[in-house]
Amino acid sequence: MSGLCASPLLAWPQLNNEGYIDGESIKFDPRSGDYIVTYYGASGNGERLVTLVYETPNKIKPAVKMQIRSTMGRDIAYAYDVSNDRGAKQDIYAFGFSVRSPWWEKPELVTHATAVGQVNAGNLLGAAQAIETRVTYAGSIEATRMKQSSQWLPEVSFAKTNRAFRFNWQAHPNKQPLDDIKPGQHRAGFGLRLPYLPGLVTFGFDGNSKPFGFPGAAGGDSKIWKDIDKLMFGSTAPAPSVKSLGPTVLIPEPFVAQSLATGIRDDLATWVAAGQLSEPLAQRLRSGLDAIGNAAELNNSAGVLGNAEQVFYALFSRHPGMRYEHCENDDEPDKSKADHPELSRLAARAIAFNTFELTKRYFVQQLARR
Amino acid sequence: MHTIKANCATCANSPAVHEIRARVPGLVNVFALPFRDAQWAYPGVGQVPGRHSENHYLTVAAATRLLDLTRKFKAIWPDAPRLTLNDASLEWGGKFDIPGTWEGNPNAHAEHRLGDSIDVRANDAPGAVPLAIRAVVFRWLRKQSRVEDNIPPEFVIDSVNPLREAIGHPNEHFHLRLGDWHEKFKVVRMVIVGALRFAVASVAATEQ
Repeated sequence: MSGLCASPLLAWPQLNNEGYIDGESIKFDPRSGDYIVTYYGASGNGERLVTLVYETPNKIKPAVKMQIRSTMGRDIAYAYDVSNDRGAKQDIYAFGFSVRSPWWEKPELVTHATAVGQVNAGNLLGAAQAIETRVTYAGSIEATRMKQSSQWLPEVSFAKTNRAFRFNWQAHPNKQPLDDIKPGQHRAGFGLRLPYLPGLVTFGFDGNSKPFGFPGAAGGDSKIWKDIDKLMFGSTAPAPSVKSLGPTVLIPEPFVAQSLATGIRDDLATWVAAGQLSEPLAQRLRSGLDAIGNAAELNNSAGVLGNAEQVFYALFSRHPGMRYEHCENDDEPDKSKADHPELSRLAARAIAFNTFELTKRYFVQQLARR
Repeated sequence: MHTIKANCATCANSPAVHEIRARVPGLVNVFALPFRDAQWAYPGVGQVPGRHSENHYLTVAAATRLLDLTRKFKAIWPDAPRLTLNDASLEWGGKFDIPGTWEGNPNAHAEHRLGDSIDVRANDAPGAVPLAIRAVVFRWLRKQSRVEDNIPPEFVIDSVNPLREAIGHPNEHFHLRLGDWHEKFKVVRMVIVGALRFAVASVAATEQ
């Protein structure tokens, strides 16, 4: 019988059975909506239990008004107005959303992989070039694909796998006075122009809370630091979010109707998962979209049109008043009308827009071939 | 340096002891190529001669992320001093024991062990982020953070989770977390598993 043991690490003060140092806690204060954080750590005057108040950046009441518009080319234009209700206690200083989807450009332009690979291969000059290319590329997206007033700062970020990206806007930190959206105010003119059809996105917002700082160094082996992390950067105290439409379904280049139909079809799962589309109706819509794609592949224009009509009927019959005209240049849906139990207005709007774009682009392609 | 001791009930040479060296792999000096021409001030600060003079090591991904960040900083605040970098990690990573006593103080610089965190000077010293913009710079940094947790690694988006440390004290600074938890666990696992495998092999060889 053999066994291994490492030499003991120094561990003072001891962690208790739960992985904390005695006295550590995070408590919610329902009166203020803030959190009282107590941890053992550097205080600026030796190590001891330190108690701080974390003001949550979630005392805001945001809303988003959105418009989607088809352009003459491949892109879809998205426009957003953002407001902060009078009842909010904080200004909104930043907002944005993430999309889980492949980026349309080459992955090496948006991830660190090339630079890391070059360093590992000992090619430091190549790494420097890769870094430069990446930074320049992200800057070009912010400059040409994102729209905002000069008082706001755009930012795009990517997952290292190229399977997710995020768009953020924040009041430009070096343009005084800061253009934070105060309670009762709204800001217009945020936009995106991308070759993606709309799908469900969740806008997250940041309130301008009081800065939270530690009197000494943060971090340690206690579990309290994971809890503090989750409080500051995770889901312990989430800010209000708003569901809206954003770029989600990639429009293929060159255009292939069947491929786009598949993209729209696959995105239905997002609506089902969000509880905005029933699974039985989703199955009917999937069948319709598959039929459109198959008909397009055979250049069967009558089949494309007939199956598209069926998809539109499934959508519009559940939302009387919604029409084809809404598909091409669509304003915010009428919020006074109730949602259908099988299909939310937001979902109906996105799926109708996407089906309309699919058929329109198919017929434009057919015309171009003549 | 770790000491591994193996006990064996049926071996004549039990217990066997072996020493191993564990290091975080792949750390780079942020003042060496390809990062030398970056937007940060040269040299960095925080070196303590004879104790930890090599204190600016990061993983390549973290260094690249830092480079992104400093370029953006310079674009937003072109008139501000270039960022002055304080402690990152030691050349091999591992415990960054500021007093150099190697006992007590187990949490000191706890997040400076794996090459994914670095401190940026934000006090009254030369080259620090000036007081007039310190709050708004930190607010900007905060928006670089990851706002989701428990998401699959393939969807984790580049982030810089910042902390404001020693606030109001002479050593005030921004502590930038440039890695992500998935990377961190991977590195820790690599170090531990690699060290144990080496130790087991070494002890087994001793027993033969």
